[in-house]
Amino acid sequence: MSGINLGTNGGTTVKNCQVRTVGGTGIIAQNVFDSEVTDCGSDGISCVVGSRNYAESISGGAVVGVVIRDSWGKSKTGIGISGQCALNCWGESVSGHGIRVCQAQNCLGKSESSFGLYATDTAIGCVGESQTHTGLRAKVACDCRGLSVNGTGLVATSVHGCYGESINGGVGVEAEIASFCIGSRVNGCAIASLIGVGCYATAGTNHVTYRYNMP
Amino acid sequence: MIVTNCVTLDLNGFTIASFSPKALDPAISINGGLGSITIKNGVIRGGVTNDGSGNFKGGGFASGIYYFPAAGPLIRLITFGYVRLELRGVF
Repeated sequence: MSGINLGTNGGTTVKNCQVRTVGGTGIIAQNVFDSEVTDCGSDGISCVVGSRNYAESISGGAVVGVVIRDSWGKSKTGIGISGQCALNCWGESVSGHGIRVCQAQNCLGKSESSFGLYATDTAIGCVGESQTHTGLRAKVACDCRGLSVNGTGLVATSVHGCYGESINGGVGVEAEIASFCIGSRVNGCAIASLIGVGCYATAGTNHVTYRYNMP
Repeated sequence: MIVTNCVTLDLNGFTIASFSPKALDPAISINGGLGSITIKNGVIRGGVTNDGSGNFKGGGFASGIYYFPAAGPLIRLITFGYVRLELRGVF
């Protein structure tokens, strides 16, 4: 059951449509542009390419696609924005990930109890915020910010030029290699890494095994 | 049901509505494999409501617009300008 179901093959396009109160998926199409889905029981928008969309869902992913740009997704228990690539997106969730993609650029992900932003590959210029979980997690993070109240601010294999802050529970920045990063954790560990280059803490102490050009 | 290519369905601001207790059929169905279909400028309204906790109940339409899956040429569902195609209360 769905609002608009054209399938994700064959060049189907939905543009400038509004869908409200759908028990299933709001819109299914290969391309979805300039559309809005609210009050949706399953996925809000499921597409291959999506741009300039807004979707809210309760239990499914708000915006699910391969390439998603300039979109806003908000879910209660699912993922706000999920797919392969996200550009200029905003994803929010209460219990799911705010954003979960392979590559994220210029995105903001927020979650109360899960990852704010989870990039399985690369995050560039992104922000991830979480109340109880990790703010931002990525394999490689560049120019990102990860913030968490009770979890770790930013976790990545390699981080460059990033800021990570934990208020209560975790570490500011946790990585194998951290370069030119700033960490913050009052009365705790600001940066935990194997290799650190040019990093410093605004609050807390650093636990870096091999330090280069840093206090 | 749209069964041929190159169809523009302009609802001209009107509403397709159903408050049938059962949601069995789509409001608009398009045969698979068709191309150049445009549906615009109107509202499709069913009877499904959300109790605020994610429990959707009601009837009306099974889908707002349904394209029967089939390999085929380009299909476009596009509304132009400031008048949107709206779907409300679809199960």
